[in-house]
Amino acid sequence: MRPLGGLLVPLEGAGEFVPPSTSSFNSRPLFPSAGWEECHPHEGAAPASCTDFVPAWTDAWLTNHVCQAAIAALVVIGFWLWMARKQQIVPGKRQFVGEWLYDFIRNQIARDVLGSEYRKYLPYLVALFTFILVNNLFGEFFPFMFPTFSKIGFPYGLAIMSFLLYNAAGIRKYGFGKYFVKMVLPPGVPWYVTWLIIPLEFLSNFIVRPATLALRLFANLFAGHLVILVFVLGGAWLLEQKDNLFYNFSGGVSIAFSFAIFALEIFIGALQAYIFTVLTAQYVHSAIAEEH
Amino acid sequence: MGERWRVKRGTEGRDTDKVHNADKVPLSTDQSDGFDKGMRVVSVLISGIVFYGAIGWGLDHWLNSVLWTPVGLILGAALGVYWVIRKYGQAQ
Repeated sequence: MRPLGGLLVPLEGAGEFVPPSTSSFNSRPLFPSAGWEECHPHEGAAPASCTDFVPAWTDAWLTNHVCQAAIAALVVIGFWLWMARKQQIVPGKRQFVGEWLYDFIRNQIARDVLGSEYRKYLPYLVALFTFILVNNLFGEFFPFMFPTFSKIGFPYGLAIMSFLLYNAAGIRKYGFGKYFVKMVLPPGVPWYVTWLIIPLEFLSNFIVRPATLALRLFANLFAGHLVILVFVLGGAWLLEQKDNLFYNFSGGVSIAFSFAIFALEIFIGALQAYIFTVLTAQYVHSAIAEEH
Repeated sequence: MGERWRVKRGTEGRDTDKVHNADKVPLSTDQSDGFDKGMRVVSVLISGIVFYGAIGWGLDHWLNSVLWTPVGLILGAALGVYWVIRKYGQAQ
């Protein structure tokens, strides 16, 4: 057995353990240009010869994660097209699943939050919920094993969509001026407090709320995926160490426990999809609701 | 809107009952409203600190002082708390 210090700091053995970090979330170009691999090593700095490496224009944006999001969109479109085919009065199994999911979003999210005006927004909410759900489930299942929304750009994109949606809904109902005043002006306070509160309401309604919407989704999936990486990679590394039964045993426990974390992540992925959709509906509601 | 929709897609007989009920649902919420209220409270508190903290920081930058950033932060936090109590604090 090794001294106790070996438990905390791996001393020798097969390879240094590289803990998962933010670099585990780096995207790769779908079609990397020549020389891309050498200049983006998995760990450490790029070699000096890379100073004049010119990436192809697709390197920056056509990445595996963008591709994954596009596939998720295709999956969602395909799923709903398939569910909408050959509708019957008495639903079969396929139609039952589709109606169950649709009814869940309609009754629990859209109608519950938006009241009688829910129908206009239902298609977007259905698409939003299923798109986030599929992307989150990508984090637990093959072939991707990576939650798309643990890249901050994707949640920002969705938050911008929600921002446009609720502002457009409000402007359409009240007109720009009236809507803006409604969102910004605090009712029933003395005028000298009003001027102090107006920037608060503006920031809160137009910037902080959509930003937190994106950050909540991102942070949950980022943290969840990182935890999974720690358990799986750390466990695998511990299993590989020779002449140390304690390491191997803890590695086995860690890998076994990672399945519980996977289950937790599936739950969190579904929950975050639900929360994002509910809050989007809620923002629309607060944009079109009368004063209360 | 609901009427037009039903005429256009009026074939789903099972659906229309629910639509009738849906139109009676008032434009108000109870379940998820609490969650949204909570998030609004947080965002108002954040906004207060961020906005008045930024003003204080700007003043400090301009006047070369170190006084206004903390003043702005505290004032912003206080305003946020005031506004949260004022807007969401009344008993239903």
